[in-house]
Amino acid sequence: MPQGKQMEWNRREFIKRSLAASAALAVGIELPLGWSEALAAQADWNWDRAVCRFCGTGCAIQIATEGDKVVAVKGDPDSPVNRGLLCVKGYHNGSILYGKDRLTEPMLRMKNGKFDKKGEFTPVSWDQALDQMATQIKKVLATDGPAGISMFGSGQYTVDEGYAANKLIKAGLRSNNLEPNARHCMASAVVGFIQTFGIDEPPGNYDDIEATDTLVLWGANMAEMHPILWTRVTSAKLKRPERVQVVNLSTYRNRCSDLADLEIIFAPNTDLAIFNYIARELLQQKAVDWDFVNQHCVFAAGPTDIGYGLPKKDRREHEVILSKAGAIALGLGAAGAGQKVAQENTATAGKHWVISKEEFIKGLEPYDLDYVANLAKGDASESIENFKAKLVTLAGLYAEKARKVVSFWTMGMNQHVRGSWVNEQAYMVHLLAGKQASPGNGAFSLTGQPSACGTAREVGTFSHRLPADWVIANPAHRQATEKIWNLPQGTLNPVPGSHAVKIMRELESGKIKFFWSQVANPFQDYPNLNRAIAAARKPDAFVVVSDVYPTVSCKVADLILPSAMIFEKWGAYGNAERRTQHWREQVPPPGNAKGDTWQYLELAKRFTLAEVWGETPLAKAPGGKLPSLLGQLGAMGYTPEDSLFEVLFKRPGAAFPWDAKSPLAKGKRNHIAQEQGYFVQKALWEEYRRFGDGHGHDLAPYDTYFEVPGLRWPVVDGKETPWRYHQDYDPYVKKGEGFNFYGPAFKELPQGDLQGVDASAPKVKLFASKDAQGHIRGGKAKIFFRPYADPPEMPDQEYDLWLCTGRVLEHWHSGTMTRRVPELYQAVPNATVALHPEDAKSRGLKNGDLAKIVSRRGEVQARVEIGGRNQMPLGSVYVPWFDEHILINKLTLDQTCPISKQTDYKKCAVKLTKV
Amino acid sequence: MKVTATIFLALGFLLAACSSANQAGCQSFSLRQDCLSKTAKPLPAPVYSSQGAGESQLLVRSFATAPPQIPHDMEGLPVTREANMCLTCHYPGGSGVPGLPASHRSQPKIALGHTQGSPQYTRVTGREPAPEGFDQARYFCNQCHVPQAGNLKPLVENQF
Repeated sequence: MPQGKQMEWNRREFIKRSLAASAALAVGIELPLGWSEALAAQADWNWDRAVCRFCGTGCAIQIATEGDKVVAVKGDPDSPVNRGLLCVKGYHNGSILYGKDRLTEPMLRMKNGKFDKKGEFTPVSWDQALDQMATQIKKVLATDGPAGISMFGSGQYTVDEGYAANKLIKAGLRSNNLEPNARHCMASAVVGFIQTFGIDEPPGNYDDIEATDTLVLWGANMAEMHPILWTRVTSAKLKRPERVQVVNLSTYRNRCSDLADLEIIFAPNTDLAIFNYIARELLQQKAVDWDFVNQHCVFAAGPTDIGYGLPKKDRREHEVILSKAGAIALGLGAAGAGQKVAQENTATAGKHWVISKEEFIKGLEPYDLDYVANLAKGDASESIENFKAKLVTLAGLYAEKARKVVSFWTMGMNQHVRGSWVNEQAYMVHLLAGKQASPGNGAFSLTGQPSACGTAREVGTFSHRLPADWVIANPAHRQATEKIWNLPQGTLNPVPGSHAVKIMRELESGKIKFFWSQVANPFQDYPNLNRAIAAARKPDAFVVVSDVYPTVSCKVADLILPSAMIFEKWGAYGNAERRTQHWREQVPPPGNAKGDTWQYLELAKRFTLAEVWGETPLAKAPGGKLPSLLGQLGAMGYTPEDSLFEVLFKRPGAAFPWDAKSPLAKGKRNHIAQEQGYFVQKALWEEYRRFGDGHGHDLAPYDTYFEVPGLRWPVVDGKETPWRYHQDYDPYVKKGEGFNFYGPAFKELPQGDLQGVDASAPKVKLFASKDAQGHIRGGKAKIFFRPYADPPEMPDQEYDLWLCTGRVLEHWHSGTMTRRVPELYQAVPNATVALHPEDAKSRGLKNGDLAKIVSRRGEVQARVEIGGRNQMPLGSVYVPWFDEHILINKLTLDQTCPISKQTDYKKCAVKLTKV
Repeated sequence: MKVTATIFLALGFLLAACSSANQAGCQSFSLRQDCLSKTAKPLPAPVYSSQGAGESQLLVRSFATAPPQIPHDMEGLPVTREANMCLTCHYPGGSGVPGLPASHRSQPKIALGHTQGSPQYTRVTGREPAPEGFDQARYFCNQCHVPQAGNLKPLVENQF
């Protein structure tokens, strides 16, 4: 075996030959003598199954390693998701590991050998780095209590990372300030699920694409954001071109229109009105499946004076002046325009109650074709008659009895100041039509990130959540969690933490002083970014960033920790169809980079129970403090000198030794297990799955996942569940029930009308009974009435354009990985600003010119793109956010859905000039 | 002396300004190496190949199973439901034009339903020749095959 340079040269030469060989094969040319050996040599590559690093589709990949290096990637032919195919990003999963500027050592801002906020980044050892972190955390805990620290992760956490982070901060440090960037990504989808069904995540699965007759995209550019799902949509459409109909609803023309039968360009936020129009049409056309609705659903409503999640000092959080459209939407008629409505439910936006069928129908009454078409038409050059005809066609597709319909959405409906409402409206339409939770029928919320479902949601890395849909605010859930985690009673902090946007506001105000980001790039992705950047640099803030490359967030950090990338550690992701997929460590991390879970474990070694489990100040807790737990330690076999590592991780992991020679390890390494002395990821998984067992979130044993390309939960009796709530497919539904919407949350509600709760009416149960195991039988879903509402910031005379932000096919999120892949960088090097030719002309701009884009909060410069992949209607511009050279989030507004607290990145007002 | 003192004072002021919050994130690492508080200097506009289809050379792929990049001009070669201009040349291939490889001419076979011994409801059971001559899932070629702006050097060297 050649060594060193010789081996490296051989590898490169071999790759070059095999490239030429495969290119030659593609062209059908005879291979030069001897070169076919290059292809044959590929048989020596070590192929193993893994998961794509990028979007929420969850494609399985085959990854080839040679020695300690990834050498090739292809789609896993056995994967039911991608069936052997990958998108252009997916094929470059290998290259993302090898940007030359990988972080390999911890770096701390130092001056004169000591930490200094104004110091220069200096390489330090892991011990120095972790000691500094522990010191900072202890300092903040002593002065501010657990409300002063925070962790920020993402939907790109592996399952074990999210779970370990959750346990460390919530059980160990007794703080609930853990949030994922997934808050910005799909929190509205969660609220939609929890309020409608009582349990999170989609009932359906990707097989719906082939099973349906109709695919309606609601502000979801699947062609770029879920490219492999789009290949399945494309195939379904082209194979049955007459029957299958594809509708693309969007605020601008995108690539999905290249396939669609019907393109509907609507004005921002008016999807709320379009859904109500469709529901009204279902009633008018007698297309409501009343048997289904009466048996399995109730009607519901909630408050409408809920603000926009803006800072409290913003006047729009206190009073909204109704526009004409906004007044009609609430049933006040045009005469209600100008009315001032006090926003009294900003803190109670999520409450809801049961209403009568008659009240529901009354709510929909204003949403006739005239009102909705005039409000929603998003392209000034389109005639109103034409637009009306499209809405009629759309409603007709949902109404047609024998037609199966799937509605897809992602950020368009989630990043929305009424995101929770509009998610619920999708279920409203599908439930009314009886087209939900069966093959080919259903409202299907897609996710953006590879484990937004699997980690952020299922593990519950939110400030108000625990694993398996349990919540911090529920004492029974906390107790059950303390039991699984073997914690003293009362360990868990009963006060939900701060959501993502609030965490940043608290870093700004000084309430939070410690902020640790992992698997995320918050100082590129937060809205109103100039303020976030300034907050990080406040003298009393300590910001830690664990990352793989020097990102924008690293630039504002105080301590940078080098992390292992996806294939440099064992892990698992959960995709948008409830499929959990695991992989092995393929190659070692570079230099001193370490997996995030390793970082949590090592930090946990630096806290004794005596230091963190004594009495702790917490303003919102009963008595202004969390109780001391130290008195309970003896009975549990703990001592005050035990470390958090011992109690939270090592002892529960003792039953899971790491065995490099086991068939499961397959000869692969596990740097975390090898250093910690046990099979960390398996131990965490086996503990984690106890949360979901027996109540609809069942997962399979760890080893099982390495035998198959993923499984969709609940996995009961060794079988995955393709469709939930349906008697033919879901083990939690009994034969004869038909459907059972058994999610347990919010299943007992007060009654009222559109205006509010009737205190004199008794609460109603939304299920028939509970069986011996406590499972709901005859559970009902809710059909919500939700009105249209204007967004808080709309174009005016000065800021005269809508700004929509988003992604592109070729790049992932903030571009940290994909802009370091030459093929992807050269395909789309920079963000551009897409705009209408007339808007360009009136500003003296032509294709490729540099434009300055300005909002009330910040400005950037980008090149103009006219007639590209996104074609904007008059008055709208689009800028993707992957480009750190063009930090578009300096312009976005920190507005959220008041229920889900998810940021709306899809609409704010900007102006644009030539540079 | 007085002049020098003033200069020093002014310099001191400047340095103070540089370290204040409105000059944040000035480290020279990251892809953009300037202060985040500034508006970044724009990179040069990308220039894609202007060579006509049929006149260009294959681009080198970084590994054997990577999708080939598009080396020629795409102007006037749309892929829509009605027309796929890529297939016009690449479906037959030949005369130096890469044709569709075998992978593109077959489609997956899918089985639905639980069977004994498998936890999976949906399984890929193999591949079969695509009746249309190519896998319809691959119709939109631009999901895998992308043009390259040859005028731009990578921002960071990639050692894959």
